[in-house]
Amino acid sequence: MAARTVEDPQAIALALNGDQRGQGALISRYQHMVYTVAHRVMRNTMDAEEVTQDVFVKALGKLGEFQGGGKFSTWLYSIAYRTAISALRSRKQESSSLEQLQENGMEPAATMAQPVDERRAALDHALSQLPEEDAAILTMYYLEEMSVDEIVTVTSLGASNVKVKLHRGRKKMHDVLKDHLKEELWTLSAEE
Amino acid sequence: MDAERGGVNPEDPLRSLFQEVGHVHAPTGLEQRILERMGTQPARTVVEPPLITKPMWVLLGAAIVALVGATFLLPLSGSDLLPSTAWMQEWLRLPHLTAFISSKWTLMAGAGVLILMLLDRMLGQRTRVLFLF
Repeated sequence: MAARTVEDPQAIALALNGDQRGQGALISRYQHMVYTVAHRVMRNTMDAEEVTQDVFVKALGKLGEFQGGGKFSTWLYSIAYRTAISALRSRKQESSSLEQLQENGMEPAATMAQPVDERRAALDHALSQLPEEDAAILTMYYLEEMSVDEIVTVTSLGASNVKVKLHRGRKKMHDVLKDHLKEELWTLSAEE
Repeated sequence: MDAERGGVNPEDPLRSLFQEVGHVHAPTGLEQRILERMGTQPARTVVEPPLITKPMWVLLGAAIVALVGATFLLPLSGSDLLPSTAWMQEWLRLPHLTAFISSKWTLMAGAGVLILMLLDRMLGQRTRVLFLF
């Protein structure tokens, strides 16, 4: 589809005029990125999808506020992170814990239930041991390769706070992964 | 720690693991569901506030009325004027004022102001349709 090949500025210009090709191109390009942060925070597929939908509806609705000088992905990530954290707080008010929600019949995360491979399952498990906010921050840092400054922009946290969360999360993940990944896999990963 | 430098260390095993595993894939059909949801969003009308507020219009109107009134009320000769209004009479002597008003620069400036005012009114009345969130 032609809309899939358009660059961000063109897609944004089309979407600003209400053109579904532009909207579709942006959703198609960034849905996995947004869904990932939503999933890291919400930790179940149902809420992650709802948050992802909310993020795109919100972002495309106020696309006029996007300052072309910055990266669209960072702007969108900021909306995704804040929407997910806000949704998580609402969920926590409804229930004392996410574990209770899952016990009550909530669908567990797809990647937890059906791991593609051992390393994906290990990563998901390690991230599930962290606070939701820290898991999202580690994802921004290691998967999206955002700098600390960009994470500060997205989360509105202080730089020192972000660094502490990264340091703490990294240490925790190393500990968990050592236990869950075969030594050779972890060593191989370390050598790559 | 690499985080202290603000960027990720490419040698970091965690980075390799994250990169290898990649994103969590969104469910099939999510894009279509989002587009459908956007299509059903109720629209709201946002009225842009006018650039010139009502009190400012009143003030401008009063100033113009006062100016026009002064041109009719003040006599041509200033001998019988009060000292406090002498400066005004000097400035507003009708032949000078008429020449000033009828000059092409004044007319063009007036036309420009009129166009800007009309534009402001149009912008003020124009509504923008936004999606309601």
